[in-house]
Amino acid sequence: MEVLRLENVYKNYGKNEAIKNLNFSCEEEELFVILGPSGAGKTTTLKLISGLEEVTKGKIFLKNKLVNNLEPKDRNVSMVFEDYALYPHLIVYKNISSPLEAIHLPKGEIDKKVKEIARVLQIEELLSRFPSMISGGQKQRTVLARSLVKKANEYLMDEPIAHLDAKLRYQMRGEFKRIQHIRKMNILYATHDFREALSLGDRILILNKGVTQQIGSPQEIFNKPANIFVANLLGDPPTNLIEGILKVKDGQYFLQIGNISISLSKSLADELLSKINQEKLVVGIRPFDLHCYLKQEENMKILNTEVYMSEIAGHYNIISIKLNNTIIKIREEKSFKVSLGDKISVDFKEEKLDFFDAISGNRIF
Amino acid sequence: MEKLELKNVYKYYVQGTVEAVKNLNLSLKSGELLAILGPSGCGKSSTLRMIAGIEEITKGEIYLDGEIINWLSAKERNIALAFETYALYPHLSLFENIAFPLRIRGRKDQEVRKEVKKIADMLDITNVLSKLPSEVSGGHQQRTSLARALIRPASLYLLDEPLSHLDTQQRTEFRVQIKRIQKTQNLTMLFVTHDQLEALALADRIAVLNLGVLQQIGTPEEIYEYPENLFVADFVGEPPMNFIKATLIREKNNYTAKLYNQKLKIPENYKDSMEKFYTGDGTEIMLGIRPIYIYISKPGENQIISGEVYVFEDVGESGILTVQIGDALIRVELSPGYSFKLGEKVNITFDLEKILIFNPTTGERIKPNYSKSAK
Repeated sequence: MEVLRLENVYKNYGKNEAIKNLNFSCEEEELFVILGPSGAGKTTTLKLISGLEEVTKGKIFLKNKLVNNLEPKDRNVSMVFEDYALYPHLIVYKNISSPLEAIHLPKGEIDKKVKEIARVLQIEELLSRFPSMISGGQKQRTVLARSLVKKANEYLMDEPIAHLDAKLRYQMRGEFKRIQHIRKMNILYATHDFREALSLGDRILILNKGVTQQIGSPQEIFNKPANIFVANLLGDPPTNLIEGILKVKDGQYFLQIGNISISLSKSLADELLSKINQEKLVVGIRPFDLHCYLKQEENMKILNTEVYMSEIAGHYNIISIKLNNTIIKIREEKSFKVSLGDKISVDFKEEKLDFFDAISGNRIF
Repeated sequence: MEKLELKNVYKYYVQGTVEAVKNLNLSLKSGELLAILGPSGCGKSSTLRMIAGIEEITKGEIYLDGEIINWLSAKERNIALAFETYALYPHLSLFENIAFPLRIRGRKDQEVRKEVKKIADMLDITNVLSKLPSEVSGGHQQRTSLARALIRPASLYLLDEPLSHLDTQQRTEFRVQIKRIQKTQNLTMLFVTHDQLEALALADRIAVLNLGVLQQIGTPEEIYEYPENLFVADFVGEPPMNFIKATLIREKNNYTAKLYNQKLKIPENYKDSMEKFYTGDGTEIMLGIRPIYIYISKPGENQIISGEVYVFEDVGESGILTVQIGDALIRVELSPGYSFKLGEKVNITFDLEKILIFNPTTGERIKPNYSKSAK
């Protein structure tokens, strides 16, 4: 069942259009992620849904009821903020129960709800402790428990783990995913972190400057980015993007990148030609789909090129090469060691290439 | 040749009550890029400031090009600085900001233009040179600050969190540029950072600092593969290293580690060091293993550890599997393409060659008798 729906939603701040024609809907028990860089309009979208900001144009429905004109308190959505202050003078139990006490729920019911959410979040044994006596991760779970204890149509979460240090973020991301598996909640989750989006999202909406770029499953978003922006937003390092020209010579098809030509199969070239009306295009390939070799073999795609940079990225190495003034990054095993200026050859499988229109930036297929 | 040398350097604040840096010894060779890495409060900025001459040295000696510089003012030291807070002159264009160190040295205008253009090209800021600092992004300001530091020849270049104000993508780009310039111009550089990925990617060697004490100094590979103690092991690497409590058992002349009702054979080359550490069956040890060195077991493999899938996360370029074994959680990093259900039974294998053994009391790593890690 559909819980939340946005129809042609716009938000202007003076002349600045923060949100432009936003359309999406969230299902029951779905964790829907909005992913975008800062300034994309993520927080604005959450505020429009919660009623903290008014829409300029368009409609917002919660459980099929138009809520544009409802006060925030009447919308029954719960906003979880990035900031996670707990009451220091109250024990964990009282911190969690505070939203229920505020609406004067019977004591027995409060107790049941607090214990249930504490069990899901594995903080049952901490209920009688003060915030100063628990770890950072446990505090985070307490904050989460306090937000989730009250039943809501939709829980809106704005970068809930962004400010944690890297180690805790890894831990919390996993915990969060597990909690959502066990107790399915309706969550709209805003983040700028592509790993969080891919890990947690049932579906992801990519937002840039208030405009939707793509909506899809994590696999669709990662493997079939709708345009150059999406391709560039996911992955560390992100997808390599490089301009090329599709050429035919003696019945053979080539991708011309500067003075390097990469041969393409006829079937791929034919499909490309049927879908483009100009020879210029942008090719994308993920750093882990490229492979480096010290010895060149004739059928390799890029022969005898210079190592522009070699960096250790923890458990793998990032090798950079320069192709027609574009730096191409390659993810290699740690055992592959080269230094600046060394000659290497690079190979990849043709089917790993993504093709984008050079003008619109949109995916060709 | 040693470019920079710190000998028994201390820094105390508040009349000796706060020890920011304790007995620091390190040196930099000409053309080397050294990172000082540590969490906030580890003493890395104090160290940088003492080298720059912005802060006094409480005790110890600092040498630059073989000469003691303790009593030289910041100006008298042939050191160029680029700071995290860019401190650009707001009323000067980026061009004039970069040109400033040359102008005050009375260099000819023509020469100044040539030098500014050269460095601006390297750092990709040529097209914004006429703008004021307030008119450009934080990334451009940071590049300008670096350009201003690099424009004049100096014995040593000090960079304080040079990539801190950039987003992930700018950071990876800028990182490459800094390292290219440093290597191609053969500059001696020291930078401080709290970001372990940045240190691993950029530095020739890394000095890890915690609470003012040097924990380890070594190449990125040494720091990553052979951390000297639990602090370094835990601070470096993402996802973080798994730590598992285990006990030693001696059977005949072989040592095994008992963990989760499984026994793992400790590699042969640890025999002598285990001999020394062993005080009877049940001697406690701490095992450390990186998520990347744990695999899904192949059928028929022995020395497997069985558990249940606690959670699995597909993050596109890798899969992060968390396995529950009793009360413990072990994180495994897999290549793309795996998929698991919550609660599913799973068998994992540790790469025994990559297991690290720590003394749980002191936190020091127990080294094998031989192998390159024994240094």
